Amino acid sequence: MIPSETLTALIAGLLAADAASVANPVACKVGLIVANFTPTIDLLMADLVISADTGLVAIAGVPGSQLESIDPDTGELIVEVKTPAGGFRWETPIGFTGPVTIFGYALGNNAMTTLWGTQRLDPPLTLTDPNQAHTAPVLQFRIDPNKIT
Amino acid sequence: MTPTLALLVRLQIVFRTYIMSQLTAPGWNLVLLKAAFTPSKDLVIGDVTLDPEMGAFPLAITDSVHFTGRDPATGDLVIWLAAGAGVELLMSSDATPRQEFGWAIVETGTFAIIASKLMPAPQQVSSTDDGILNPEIGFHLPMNLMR
Repeated sequence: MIPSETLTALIAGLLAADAASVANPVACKVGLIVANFTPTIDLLMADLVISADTGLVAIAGVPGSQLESIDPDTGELIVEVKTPAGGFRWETPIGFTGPVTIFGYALGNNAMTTLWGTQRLDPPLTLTDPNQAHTAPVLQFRIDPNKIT
Repeated sequence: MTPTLALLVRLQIVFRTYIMSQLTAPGWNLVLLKAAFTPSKDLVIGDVTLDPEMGAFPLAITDSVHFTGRDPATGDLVIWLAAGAGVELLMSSDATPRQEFGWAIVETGTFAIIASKLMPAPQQVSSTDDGILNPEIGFHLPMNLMR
């Protein structure tokens, strides 16, 4: 059926408040993906290599409901991952002996066992020395309500 | 971000949960529309002609097992509002022969249109107990719904 706009407009808010996924009271984490990958719907956490290096480990976001809004240009419904204090920012420590290449970001549960989404960093970024930092961009899911039938 | 199937399934579940709450209160009814219309997300009650002679089917959760699932043909995640049991709207009394053009889900009391669906071709009804068996009533969430 063709749903009304009144109905579909709700879904970003419903997902942004979903305590069993992105709005978990134990905050989701964003990790750096350090091996090449292709973002697809079928990816699992086990398919990715997430950095465990000092200074480059997954960072916890903000627990609870995330942000939701409507793109005024496209009408897409947006679920945006809240940025924690200090941001999703990684910095290589003293003694870092890279190189480590960042291919993208993974949003997962706090234990980083369940993968909710991925995003590529184009072009990839290679960290080679201590005191090099990288901050993730705003991480969003965009829903096209016109695709619901 | 590119979502995983796990997140899309969560979207399906929270959407279903919301729909279930609405079926409880205020309630949704399936009705027939007896004038041509074009389904759209902006459709309002003033755009369509309900056929009260054909009654209204109160949508309810009659089969929780089949309430959500996945279309094997398309991979779409599906929320079914009327699955398995069959849904038929019957003419309650003899009336002028006419055609039915489609269905709408309307909110109980307010008649706000929740969703609409056009029949492949209009169907004729003409006397008491003429019935129209409805097709799948529900929503499809395609795999490319979110990016």
